[in-house]
Amino acid sequence: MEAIQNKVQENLRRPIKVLLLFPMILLVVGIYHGLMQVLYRAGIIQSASFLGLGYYQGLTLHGVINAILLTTFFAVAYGHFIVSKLTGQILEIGWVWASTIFMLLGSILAAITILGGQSTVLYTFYPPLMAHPLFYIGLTLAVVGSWIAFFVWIGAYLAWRKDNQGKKTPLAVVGVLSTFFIWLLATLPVAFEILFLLLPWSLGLTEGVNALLARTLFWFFGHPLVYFWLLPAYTMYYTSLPKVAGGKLYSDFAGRFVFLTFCVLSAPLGLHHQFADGGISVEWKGLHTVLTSLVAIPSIMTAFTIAASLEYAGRKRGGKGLFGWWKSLPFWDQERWLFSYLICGLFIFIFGGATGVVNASYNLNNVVHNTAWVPAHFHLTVAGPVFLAILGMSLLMMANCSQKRVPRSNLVLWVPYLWTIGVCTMSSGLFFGGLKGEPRRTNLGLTYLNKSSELYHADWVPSTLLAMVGGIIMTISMLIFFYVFLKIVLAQEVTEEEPLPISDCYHDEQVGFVLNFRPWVIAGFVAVVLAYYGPIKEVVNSNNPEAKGYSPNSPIPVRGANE
Amino acid sequence: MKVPKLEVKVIGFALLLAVAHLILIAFAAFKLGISVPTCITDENDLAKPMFIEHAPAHFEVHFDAKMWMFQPNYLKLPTGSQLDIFLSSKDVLHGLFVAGTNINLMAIPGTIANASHTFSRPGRYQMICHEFCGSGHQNMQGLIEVVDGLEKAEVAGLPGGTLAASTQGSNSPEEGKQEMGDPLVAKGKQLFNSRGCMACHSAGAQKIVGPGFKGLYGSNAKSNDGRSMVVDEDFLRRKIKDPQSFITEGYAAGMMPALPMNDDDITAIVEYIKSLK
Repeated sequence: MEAIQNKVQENLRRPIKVLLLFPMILLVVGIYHGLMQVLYRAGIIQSASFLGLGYYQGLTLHGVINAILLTTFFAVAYGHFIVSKLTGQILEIGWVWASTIFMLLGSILAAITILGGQSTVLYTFYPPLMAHPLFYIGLTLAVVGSWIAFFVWIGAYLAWRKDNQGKKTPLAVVGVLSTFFIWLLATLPVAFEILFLLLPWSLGLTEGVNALLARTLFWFFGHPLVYFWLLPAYTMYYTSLPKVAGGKLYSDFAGRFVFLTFCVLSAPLGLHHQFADGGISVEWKGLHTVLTSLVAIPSIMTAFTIAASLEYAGRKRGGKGLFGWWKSLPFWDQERWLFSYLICGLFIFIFGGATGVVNASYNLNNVVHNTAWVPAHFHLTVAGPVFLAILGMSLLMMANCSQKRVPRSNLVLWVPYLWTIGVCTMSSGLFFGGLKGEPRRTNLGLTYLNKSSELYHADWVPSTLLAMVGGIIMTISMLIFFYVFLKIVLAQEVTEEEPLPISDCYHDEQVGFVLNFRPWVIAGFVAVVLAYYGPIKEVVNSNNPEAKGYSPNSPIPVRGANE
Repeated sequence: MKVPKLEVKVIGFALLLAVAHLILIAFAAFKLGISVPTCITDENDLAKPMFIEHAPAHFEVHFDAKMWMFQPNYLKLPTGSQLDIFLSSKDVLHGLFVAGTNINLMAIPGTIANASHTFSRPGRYQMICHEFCGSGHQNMQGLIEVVDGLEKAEVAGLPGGTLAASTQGSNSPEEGKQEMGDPLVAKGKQLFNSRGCMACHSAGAQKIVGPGFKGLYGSNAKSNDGRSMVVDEDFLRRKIKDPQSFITEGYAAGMMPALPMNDDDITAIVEYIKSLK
């Protein structure tokens, strides 16, 4: 694979910058409440709210901003950047702006209703807790905006294929298109949930919802969502990491195979979030357990390929011995600053992946479901490899699109290392707490970690304190990051462009079945139908659809009191 | 061209891991009998709060989860008891986790979640709601106490106090921890904490969902239909027994549930409220 790079389309730079800057501003709030949360949980703050922001309201913001808005905005910005740079095709700028405006508008609507206290439903928005209609409308607009971007790239990709018949699609473009195919597959059920169940119900047009159906549709979305988060990071691991490490991607086939396998395997396994639910048969839960275990294939393949690529780089840099090559990698090389963001993410992901196996293990999930173990796990994935890849690539794209350079300073390198220490410490606290029964999504400061409460639980003091220390370190790391980001935004333009590292391949075979999206896309649709037709039929037939809506502040329904 | 050899081996290795993983899960499910809830809907008696003794060491309990309490919320069982749990919800999503056991369930309106556990060791097993269910979520809990040589199992917090056991003061989760002073006040405080009152009322003056209890006794209450009453013993008694008889201005009808308490319990609660000056 030859790394041909074009300059980013001139008029595409502004929307990319908007897509990067906007979530960074929101992220200040998201990170702030991350810090607040570890303080509440450790019993340092012992009240229902702090500085006018309620615990659960802040938790909703933390989830919606960090996990949904930041990730989606970034993925769209990265997609514009990669497709424009690697195909050289002109992206329809009118549609790009339409997509951007939909996303901005949607996010602002959702954020306003959360800040106004009318949508304290957490990022999972499970009914019968009911949010403001504009919360649902806002999320829908944001999703539709991201779809528009995807359709623009499909057009550009097809045009590129026409001009470049017989050539392999650049691997990073395969990564981006796979990411968004998964996103489309994932957002269809949640769009159905919002438009046909939740929105009419919150507007008062329908009386009740089928709470289990909504929850099932949410997780039909929720699991592929995590691959939507993860795949941009994977794209960087396959296409940029080997280059900044000083080597080559070990196997081009592996990269294509992994992205396309995820197109099939990422969606038909969401029931592993619902092992503890009544109303779904054990047979369906078992089927999704089996399908989940197949994710071992792309995961192990990635572990192998990335390790091999790093070893190649390490040896090329003069590393010797069975593991000695590890030491010669550019951990503190300011010129190769992106390496630190990607390698730290990979390190964190080892633990994120391993603990995910526990959650997905059917009956073993009984030990950890909805305990602090779960956020410990997903902070080692979405707040580990995903978040660090987002931070690193946001710096790079921001600089590239504004004709600036990422400052070559140790400050830039400190961000991922501090973050790694912080997130691993915080998650350790949450893991230990979870195994001792500490619940997630709970204002522990009011009761369980409050000495004056009858419910005080001395068992959870060490774990919540450990998590707090980690959370503080993470916050410090983010303060440095925001400083660096702002420095780039305010810096003078330079002539030298911040380059996007794209690796060559060590093995570059032509393997026919990974060169075409079509069979994988069809298999993806077939797999979700096979995996979800039965469970959804069961949920629709067996469950009472008349759950009334509740505000989180009152035990009587919003409309039409019981009996 | 064919798939490179090393990559084929990697795929084979991954499949081997997946199969090993599934064998372990199947072993736990079929050999050790550790299971997860299956499909049961709520169109039957399982959704009604209930405590049934099948045999001296075999019990069945139907927990009804609601904002923000479990009904029932206290069980006292002899060591070695098998407990079959059926969990349902009538309002929003709730969770039930019993620390130190494999009981970990979601309460979803319209469904019944089921688990079974044998308590082979004595101890205090805290029941915790672990799914966000509104502003009182962190107060939603209960207790399963397992003791050696217990003659008769006890239950508390069933609506209407349908079981004799629930009407006895001796089922106190905080027994032996009673404070100095008026034993009736101490019992009231314990009931306040264990029966879910504290999910909506604070022992201080601040309002959570309902009014705080401090200084409530002796104050004046106005109803939404213009009646004005002094909060005295009779008023409190009536308000607990029949909450809809007097809807305080600024509160909606139905917010205060009719709680499962007998006259002795109510007397204790009233004494406790009187003590919060």
